[in-house]
Amino acid sequence: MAEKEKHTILFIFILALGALLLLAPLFVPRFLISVLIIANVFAILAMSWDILSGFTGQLSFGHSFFVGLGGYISGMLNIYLHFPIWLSMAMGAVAALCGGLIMGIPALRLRGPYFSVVTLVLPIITFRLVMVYSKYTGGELGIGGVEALSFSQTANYYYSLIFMILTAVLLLVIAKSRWGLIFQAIREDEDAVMETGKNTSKFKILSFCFSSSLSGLGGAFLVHYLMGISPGAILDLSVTIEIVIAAIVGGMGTIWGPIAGAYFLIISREYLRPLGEWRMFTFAVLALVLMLYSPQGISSLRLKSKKP
Amino acid sequence: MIIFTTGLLISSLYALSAIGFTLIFGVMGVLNLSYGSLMILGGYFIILFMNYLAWNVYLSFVVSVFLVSLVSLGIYKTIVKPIQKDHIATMMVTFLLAIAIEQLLTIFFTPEARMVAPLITGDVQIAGIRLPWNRLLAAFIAWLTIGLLWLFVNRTKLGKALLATSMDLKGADLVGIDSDVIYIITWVISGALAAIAGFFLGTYLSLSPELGFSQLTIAFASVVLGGLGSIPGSLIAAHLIGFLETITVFVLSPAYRGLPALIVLVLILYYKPEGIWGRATH
Repeated sequence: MAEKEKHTILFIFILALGALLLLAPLFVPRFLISVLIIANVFAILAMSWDILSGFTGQLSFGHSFFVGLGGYISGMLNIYLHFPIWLSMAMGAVAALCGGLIMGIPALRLRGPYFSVVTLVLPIITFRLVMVYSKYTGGELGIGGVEALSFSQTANYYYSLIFMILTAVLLLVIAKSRWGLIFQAIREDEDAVMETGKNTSKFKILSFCFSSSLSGLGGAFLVHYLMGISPGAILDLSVTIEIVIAAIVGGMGTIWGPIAGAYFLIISREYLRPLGEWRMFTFAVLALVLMLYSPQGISSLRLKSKKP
Repeated sequence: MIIFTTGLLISSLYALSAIGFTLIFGVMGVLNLSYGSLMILGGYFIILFMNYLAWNVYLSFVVSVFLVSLVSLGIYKTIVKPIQKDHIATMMVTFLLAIAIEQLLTIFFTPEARMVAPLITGDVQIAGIRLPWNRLLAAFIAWLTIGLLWLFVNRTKLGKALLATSMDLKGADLVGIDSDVIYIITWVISGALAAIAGFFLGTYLSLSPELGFSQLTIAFASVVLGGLGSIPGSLIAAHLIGFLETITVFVLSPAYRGLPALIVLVLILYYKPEGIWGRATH
């Protein structure tokens, strides 16, 4: 099949998919709309994880740190200081950005496994802090009464869809740009990149900024959609795990892959409810198997192992 | 005084688990993120055997250690070996494995915490403090195991081969050491240590599926603080962390358990990643 034909088919496919997504509220059952909203949010989280971990190779095992920061700051500003939604969400993103710097700056001195373990630890520390100050944060149960984005599910759906598409476009543009190339080069061989005179620290921090602020926005969105802050929904290890699995299953290092992975994860999580407690286990095993055998999902990692 | 003895006893367990963890990291540069899960798996096997097969605690303990070593070996052979050169992938894979194990345990054993029956019941009075026999036994076994391991690594041919592989893979290869065999032994020992530590921790703090990650963090913190590839380093570091935690729990509140290890870990990684005695990393 000629290249041009492939491109045309891909284009039509994307158009059809786009149309389906846009028109979904018309023909999709109500409960599925809620599921799709969550799927969109997770797509945002997974994509932002990907631009950091998939592209620069700095594996974040604690992404819920950003989601949680964004969610808590946004929600608390909204409830206690009565910030309007757009402002509280923006501040949530800023808070997450600061979190990104907290995680990112020390990361400059840490490579590989050391960095990843620090990421694992940050959300745990945050959760402890939430518990210590539970008078303000609502502790384990969280706080309710956050201003809703909209009381119409359809409106919420379109908000989430637009948000997701904008994030995807932004990240895809970055990914295909020189920056994206440098990110990937850092993953493959950071020393070589430094030899070319590039300041890898600057780019690593950059990837953190994008990744953290977008995840923070996702967390803020979630909090306003759910009309409440709950650590289980935004700070818990399970959130990080779902993000990572979504990105792996969809394909790390691609940006669009995590969208597919997020949709797959969230939608099948709904339909697999009969499996009950086995769901998470199944997903973990699936991701594991994919990591070991699937070329597409881990193609970005396989390249690294070919290094002499 | 009670802080000292409690601290000492729990530190010996932390030391045991730290050594099991650093063994794999030191010898092959791989972070086995499923190590914590292996620890609690050991504890849960014992619960399984005792409650459902009505075995006594000694038999359960021995079989559990054996099984976990096998599982550890299995992990190495099937999952890690193909991708051991790719550090990112091995981290992800062992991480996913840890999740899978935790989920399985939650399904079969519920998320509630369970106590594991001790090997010896009863207390003893030493210097005015009541100490459970089992905790003394735990410390004793921990130290015995550490001592045996030291003897193995430093005095036997196989142990020295292990040391050699951890220092320089190519060099070891050149002298005819089969790294695969070494790795197998490393993972098996690591699994055994995990199971022993897991069992005693289960008698001390009750066992729950989520304990895996917090134990992993403590082991990792000890290893990082002590310095990579330094077994004496992680020993001492484990004691430092153990005492720090005991003091925190007694002086502040039990709610803060696990937090000192986290903070130490983060601080060390920020300021002195090589740890106190560290060698250069792989």
